[in-house]
Amino acid sequence: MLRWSLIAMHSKLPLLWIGLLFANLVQAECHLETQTWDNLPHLMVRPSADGLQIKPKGFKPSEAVLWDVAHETGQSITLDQPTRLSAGNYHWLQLMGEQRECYITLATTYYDAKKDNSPRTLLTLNKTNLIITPVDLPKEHQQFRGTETWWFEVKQDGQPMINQTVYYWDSVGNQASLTSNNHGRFLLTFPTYTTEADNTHAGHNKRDSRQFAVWIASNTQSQISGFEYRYTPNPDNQHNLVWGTILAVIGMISAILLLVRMKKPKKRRAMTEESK
Amino acid sequence: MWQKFSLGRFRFIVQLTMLFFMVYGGLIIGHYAADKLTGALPALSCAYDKQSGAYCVLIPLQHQLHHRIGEALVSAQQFSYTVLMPLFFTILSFLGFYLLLGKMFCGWVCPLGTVQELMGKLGRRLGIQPKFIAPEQLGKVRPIKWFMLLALVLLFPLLAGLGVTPHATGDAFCQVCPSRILTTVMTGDWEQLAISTSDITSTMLGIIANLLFGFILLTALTYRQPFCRGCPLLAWNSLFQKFALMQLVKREHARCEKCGVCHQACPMDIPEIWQKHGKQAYHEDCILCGRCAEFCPDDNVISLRFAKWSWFTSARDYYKARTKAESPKSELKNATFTLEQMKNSLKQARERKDAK
Repeated sequence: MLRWSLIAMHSKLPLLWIGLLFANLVQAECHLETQTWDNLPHLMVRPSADGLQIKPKGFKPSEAVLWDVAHETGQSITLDQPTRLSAGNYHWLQLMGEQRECYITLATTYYDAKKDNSPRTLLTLNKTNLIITPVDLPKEHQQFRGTETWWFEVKQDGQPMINQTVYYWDSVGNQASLTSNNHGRFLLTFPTYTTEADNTHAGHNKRDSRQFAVWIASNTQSQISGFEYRYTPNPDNQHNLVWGTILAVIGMISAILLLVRMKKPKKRRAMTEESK
Repeated sequence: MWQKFSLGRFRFIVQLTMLFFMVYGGLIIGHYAADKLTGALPALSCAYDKQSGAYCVLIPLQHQLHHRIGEALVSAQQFSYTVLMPLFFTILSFLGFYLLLGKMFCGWVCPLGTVQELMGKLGRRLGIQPKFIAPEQLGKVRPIKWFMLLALVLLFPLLAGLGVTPHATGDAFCQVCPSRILTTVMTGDWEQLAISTSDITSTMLGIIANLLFGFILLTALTYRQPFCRGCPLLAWNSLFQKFALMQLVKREHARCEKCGVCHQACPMDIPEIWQKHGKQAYHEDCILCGRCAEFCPDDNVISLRFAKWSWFTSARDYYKARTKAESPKSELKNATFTLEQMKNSLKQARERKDAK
């Protein structure tokens, strides 16, 4: 295609040139290596009093399905109105649609604080033919955090995709390519993320977070699938281990001093008794 | 191995098993099962420990006050079904747990209690003599646990929910709890040892926590169970101890007045177990470890009961054998204590009781 484009550019045939350039762009939709964070489709999920508000950005899905931990079959939802949740814990939200001859699947998770089953089954359900999922999701009160390493896996038609390139992007411009292992899994280490804002309760304060996405293309390059979520600042952000250790040692020294001091009066008492 | 057996040894095995389960339980029962188990048994280990089997009872209690009651009152939401039902179930499951085990959580399950006992044993091995808190000094120590419960577990989380105090006080007790640092450090996670510098409240709470952690760890070498004496969980448990099926029972005995060995054996230095009998002997500070029953030199004076079943009772022969291994004051001796000896002593005590 690129060769034809170059010929068209030199042949001074503007229409052919524009046509072929468009064809290049169409093809690029399923070529992840040329994408950037801004070009990728995104998925916004916000809780409201009426339910979850789901807004896709950058593509128009033809189908939206929501899975929860209480049901093994997904529920088709409409994006025009808020979606009410019928279970707690994690939910898997998946949007699918075709755009410029490329079939796109984009998924995310949403955590509801209500107690419910673990998302173990939810993560292993066969939700679509090409899928990229975290092996574990953060437990209650935990998050994916900067510098932490988490396993993800990629599957096509239920089978692990071995030695496949997976692409990572995040909302601050970090990008990387990773390769899946013999089990279709890859380790993702989140980039360093430090902030001056108060993130002592990052789990509660989702403003202190960055969006990230991991994407994979099918073997035939006709389909791409992504998972989008967020990660929060590093565990050591605004934390000082050195001072923490020093204070613990001071606590220990004060215990020793107290114990030694408590022995002395007895000695003194004994000495005074002897002198008497 | 099973020949070397006593109640103390059995309790020690239970403690070590629970310590392992509560600190590394997530590795055994699975990443998410720990969360699920928390819903069923809300009285286990630290929520800050990523490998833990479940959560301590105090974290959901603080969260209910912070996020449900406090925030619901502030935003004037309907203080109704959605707020009250989870609170009701939390309290119901607390009660269920306490009604069954009562204060055995403190003496048999709590990881910080186990580590303090281990430190005490280490102290004895190092030749450090145990120290005791005199009965006249207990009056100063005993109110601490109630202050901790009322202020740090109940009041501050509620005030944080109401927006009066900073967000960091939403789990104020956890922020100063030495068990949070201890159990996470035991998994190789140093995060909780680090002092938060994000705001003044977090920093202050962190300073208190770290000083307390270091202080408690080394004080436990000589004083038995130093943190337990001020632990809000002990106060919380004592609210329900009268209703629990697991109880400590002491009957009046003429020789008690001159003896006092049970008081020496008590890791919480409770004089009431020696000086009083009946319900008054089962004091609010009791952690149901059963040492008083083990070290009582008279038959059937102190018993551990589950409902009407007296599953362990004091016996003279048991006492004789037990003191060969360890003195009531926790000084270790190089002697073994066999299962046969325990069986025989209990049998003889029962026979003597029947003969009377």
